[in-house]
Amino acid sequence: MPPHASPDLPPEATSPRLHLRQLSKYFGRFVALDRLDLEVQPGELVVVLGPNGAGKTTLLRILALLQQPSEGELLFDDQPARRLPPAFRQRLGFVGHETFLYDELTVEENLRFYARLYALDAAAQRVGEVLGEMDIAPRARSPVRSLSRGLKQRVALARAWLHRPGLLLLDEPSTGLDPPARARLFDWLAACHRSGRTVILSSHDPAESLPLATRALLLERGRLALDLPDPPARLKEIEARLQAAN
Amino acid sequence: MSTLRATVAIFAKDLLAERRTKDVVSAVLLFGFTIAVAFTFSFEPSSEQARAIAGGLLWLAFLFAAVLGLNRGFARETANQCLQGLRLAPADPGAIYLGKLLSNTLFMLFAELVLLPVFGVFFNLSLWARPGWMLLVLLLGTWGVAALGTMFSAVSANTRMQELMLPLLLLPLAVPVLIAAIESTTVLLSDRPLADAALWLRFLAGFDIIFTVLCWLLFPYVLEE
Repeated sequence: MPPHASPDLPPEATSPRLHLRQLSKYFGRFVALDRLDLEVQPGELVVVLGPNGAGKTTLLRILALLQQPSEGELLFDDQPARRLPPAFRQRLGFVGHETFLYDELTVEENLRFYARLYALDAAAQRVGEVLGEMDIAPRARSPVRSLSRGLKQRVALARAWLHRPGLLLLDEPSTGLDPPARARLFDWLAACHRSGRTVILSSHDPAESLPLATRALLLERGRLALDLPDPPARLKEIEARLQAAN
Repeated sequence: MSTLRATVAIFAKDLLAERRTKDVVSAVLLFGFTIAVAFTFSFEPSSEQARAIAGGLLWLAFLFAAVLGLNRGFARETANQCLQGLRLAPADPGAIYLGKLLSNTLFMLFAELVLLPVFGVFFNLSLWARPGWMLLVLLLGTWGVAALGTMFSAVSANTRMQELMLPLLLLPLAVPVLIAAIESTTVLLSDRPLADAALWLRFLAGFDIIFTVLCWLLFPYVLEE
């Protein structure tokens, strides 16, 4: 994942402006998100922090249009998310806790399949590029089931990056990666950010993720407890607050 | 256009995965063969009786084997939550249904074409006396079961008792397809005129069209959490 991996933005992959209005999500009686109000401008790099069960994953899944809010509204460029056409998803890239990869297919076959789903031109060439960018080309012909957790995570990142989305939503993307791969991941995220894309990622480790961030959000029991600009300058304050929340 | 591309992509992916693992076809074949053997030794029918009951036994075997295959086929999408990956794609969610429907139908048809001669040998029947019509009945009957089964395998994928839920949902609604397919097959195996099967074939075609369109329209709601 070299830091120079910051391709030009095609028009369909520009970053949308995000707006959450009193957004809540319930699972039975459990309140996962509680009346969130939030705006994210194009080009921000937002780190979402919080203890387990704070609502980070639910928030990212709702932003990825994989879950519907129970109440409130999610808007992309002032358009309600529920009214957006399927083509809008071309602008989103999501990496969750699961890889969304087919174990019985090889790395290359998985990526080619997703490239076809996203109707990418020159799919084979683009797959070759992301294999190189994510440093997984030597394992292109390996079945996904034979890969380590860290390598699978890199393939999952490649899958989300194939169509060069304008908005990257990453749920604890450094899970399973060794320290050098983590460093490359954050270099790559910085490059994505420099190219004008919006990146929203959740993390348990503020020291690792906040140096890159333009904004930090702290979720506590589904509520937005903290919304701070310039997180690198306030690392100690945020760490202390996170520790208290834990 | 994106729907068609996504449908073809999902269908091709399933073919590739099945070619590698043979999960669905092997399970359906093994189960169907076991039922064929069990039926043969249970009934030992005369030639006349065989022609009267073979259609029913054949489609019962196909239906139960299909349940097994449909469960296996959708298990591929629940592992690593691949279904969520499909939902992220910028295509109509109905494309997921159509792609899975095509692959399920193809796998079931393939298994049925292998099992048919086995039944023919065990029951001492010529099942290919009217091959074109037999293929049409197989195609229409299998499509009907797959149209419902693909939808309900997605419904049951989100439940705790996935393997149990699919037959509970599918079997009652598949009864009309089963009856029409059995009646058509019985006509083809007997000396009765083809016109006797026409009504049932029309029924099967109508059922397939209605339920394919209905399931395709409802499928996006099934995928929502």
